[in-house]
Amino acid sequence: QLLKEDKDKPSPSFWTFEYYQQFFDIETHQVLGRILGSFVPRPKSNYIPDKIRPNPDLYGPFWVCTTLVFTTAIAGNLANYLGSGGKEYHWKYDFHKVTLAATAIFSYWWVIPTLLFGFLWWRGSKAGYTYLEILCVYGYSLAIYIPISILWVIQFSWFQWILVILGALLSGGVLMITFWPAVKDEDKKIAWAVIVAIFLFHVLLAAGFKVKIIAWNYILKKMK
Amino acid sequence: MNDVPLEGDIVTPGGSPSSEDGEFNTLDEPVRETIMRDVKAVGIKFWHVLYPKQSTALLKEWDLWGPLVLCVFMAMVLQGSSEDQILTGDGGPQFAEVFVIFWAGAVVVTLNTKLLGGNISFFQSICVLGYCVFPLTVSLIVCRIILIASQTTVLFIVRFLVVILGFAWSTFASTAFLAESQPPRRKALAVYPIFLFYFVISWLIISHTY
Repeated sequence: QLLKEDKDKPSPSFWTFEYYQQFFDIETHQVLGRILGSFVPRPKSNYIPDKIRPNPDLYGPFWVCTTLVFTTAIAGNLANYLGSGGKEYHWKYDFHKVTLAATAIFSYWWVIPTLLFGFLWWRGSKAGYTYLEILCVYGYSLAIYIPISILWVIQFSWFQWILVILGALLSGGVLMITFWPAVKDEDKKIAWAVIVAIFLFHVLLAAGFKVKIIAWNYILKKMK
Repeated sequence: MNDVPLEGDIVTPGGSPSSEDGEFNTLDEPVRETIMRDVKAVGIKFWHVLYPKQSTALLKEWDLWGPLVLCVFMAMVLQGSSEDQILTGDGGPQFAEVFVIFWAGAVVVTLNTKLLGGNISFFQSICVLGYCVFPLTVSLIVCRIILIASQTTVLFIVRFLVVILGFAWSTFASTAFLAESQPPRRKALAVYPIFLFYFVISWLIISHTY
């Protein structure tokens, strides 16, 4: 079995296929459990020790992000179509939305964990989260946005904003609970700053979707 | 035994697109015969996709001609025309975009299966995924024909149902072929990307209006 407890054990070389297989050593029920846990904040239990160890995976995060790219782009196209009144509009698959969504989502998935891991490593955090585990948590944290992006097709702006806040609270909550043990030994101000920053970026991502991708029908109405 | 060995039988030698410059005794036969043999092999595979049962034709004697034909055809039909771009400011997918989605999608799905521990060779999987787009291509043709009439909601619903049918058929066919090569307890994990791949292609088809 390819259980890797820590990175010091001899592992397959970076250039072999087996090296990457260790990140996909996961089963269906585990993936489902991780997705569910990513948006149900549980103050008593902690996401990483409970769900992610001992085998953090990249399957879930990658496919969650890819699915999210497509659902957001499709919801954006549908929003255009519905917002412009339907039948005469030449409903085209707007490719630019796909690339925009993909860039935003995959950047978020990689950049924030890198910054966070760098910060925690620099401060010598005692929680001992590995880079892979942080990547894994962040990938799964985007899962709640998939049903939300589908619901964004409903064309009421206040409803869409409620969804943004709900999604950010739920999965941001899990993120905050997960990372609190990593920073609680810090000076209170720094610890809180980190936690708030984690939450803020999460909100910004969802709000960004709403504003840039879903709200294009306002621009179309103006063009008419 | 992951890759297809080059065997001495007369049916399509695995993986080699130009069998004219070939080994064995194809050098002596008329070119027409060689080409017809390949065309027949491709045709048989299309037939198998339409009526999926466990068959080794798609797996053991894989080829990429069929997927290439389907991909080029779909990309040609789906590409937006240049005048539309000037009018609306952004257009439908260009030929290259459809092409890339098709092949990059197939590669990523195949890599996913292999990384999960699936027991199938890389090109066999691409071959199956490519051939199983055939029902969706048929849906595209039907939709295109429907689009000649002026559009109403009823026709839209008809197009929608046609695409859903093609999508279900494609997904069902490809899972029928790839079923046992998937690792146990991870079947859903391996099937989901296939579902997503055909879903995206279905979306390209249904959103293609003129």
